[in-house]
Amino acid sequence: METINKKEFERIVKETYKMIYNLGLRLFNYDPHEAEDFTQEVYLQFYKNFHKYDGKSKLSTWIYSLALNLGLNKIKKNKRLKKIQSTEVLYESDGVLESNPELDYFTEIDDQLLMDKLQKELMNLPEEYRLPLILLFYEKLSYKEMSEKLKIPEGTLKSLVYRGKLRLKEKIKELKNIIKG
Amino acid sequence: MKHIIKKIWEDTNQLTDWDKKHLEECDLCKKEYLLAKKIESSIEQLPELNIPIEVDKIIAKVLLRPFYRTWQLILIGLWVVLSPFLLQLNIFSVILKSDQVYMITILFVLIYMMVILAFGYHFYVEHEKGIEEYSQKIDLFLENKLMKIQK
Repeated sequence: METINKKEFERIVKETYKMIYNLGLRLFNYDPHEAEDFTQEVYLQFYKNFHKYDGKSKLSTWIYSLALNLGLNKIKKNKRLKKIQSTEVLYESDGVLESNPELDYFTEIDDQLLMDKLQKELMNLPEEYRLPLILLFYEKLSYKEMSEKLKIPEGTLKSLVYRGKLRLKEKIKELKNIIKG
Repeated sequence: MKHIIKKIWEDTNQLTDWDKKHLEECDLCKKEYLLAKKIESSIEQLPELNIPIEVDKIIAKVLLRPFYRTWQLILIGLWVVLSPFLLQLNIFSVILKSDQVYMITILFVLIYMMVILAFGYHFYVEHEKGIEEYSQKIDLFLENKLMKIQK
């Protein structure tokens, strides 16, 4: 059984902890305490399970996927997203979805400003919208993977992503009004 | 012309060739598409936050953590699970008379409870001591780190 020595462990933690901590922040509501606990749990599991590392992928990639699995398991166990399953989420026709001839507004906003606004608003989105958006577009998980790991039906996840995007779209409208005002 | 706005907001990656052709011809849908893409790329490019974190503490907590002594847990588990079965088997009745069986069973139950209590107390004390030692070790580890940095 291959183990890792303490010096090597320390070196790897120092190389990767920012990446793992940021994953923790994204997964756990940007709560620094939860992200720190998560980071510690990841390295504990890494230390215990190092013998399972087969060297086929980069060590940092392996730690990242170990962390992502651990994080998703934790979310599933916490049942934070449980309410989603009981809430019927439908593709309803939203006002924001109607044809909007004034859609030009977003091209008038500075690109960086728009990006900053969207990222800020993403952090303020309710968890049930934010998490699927992050898992899909940032972590590059497919709907199928998300559904398997979180035990939430694919249809529900698609609906949450859709609604989350529409909420962000609404926020851009607000930004336009602020700029004009 | 039928717009595909709903489809765009559902999933930009699921657009068909027909939809893509439509985007070239329909200004309204194209703008919706560009906005949806902009939102997606803002998530893809989320910045890493640089919040300070006590990395040395994390290292110390992992390296100095007292791992479970598996064999102890297995022994306790076996004892707790098997002992009531031994009682049920009433092995004493084979060799002893009925009144003696009664006395021996009571004695056995008493001994059983005393052993469980003694083991429980022992592991409670060990656990408490372990936590104290653990936090002392972490403090020592961090102090040594600090001294090395100061040197």
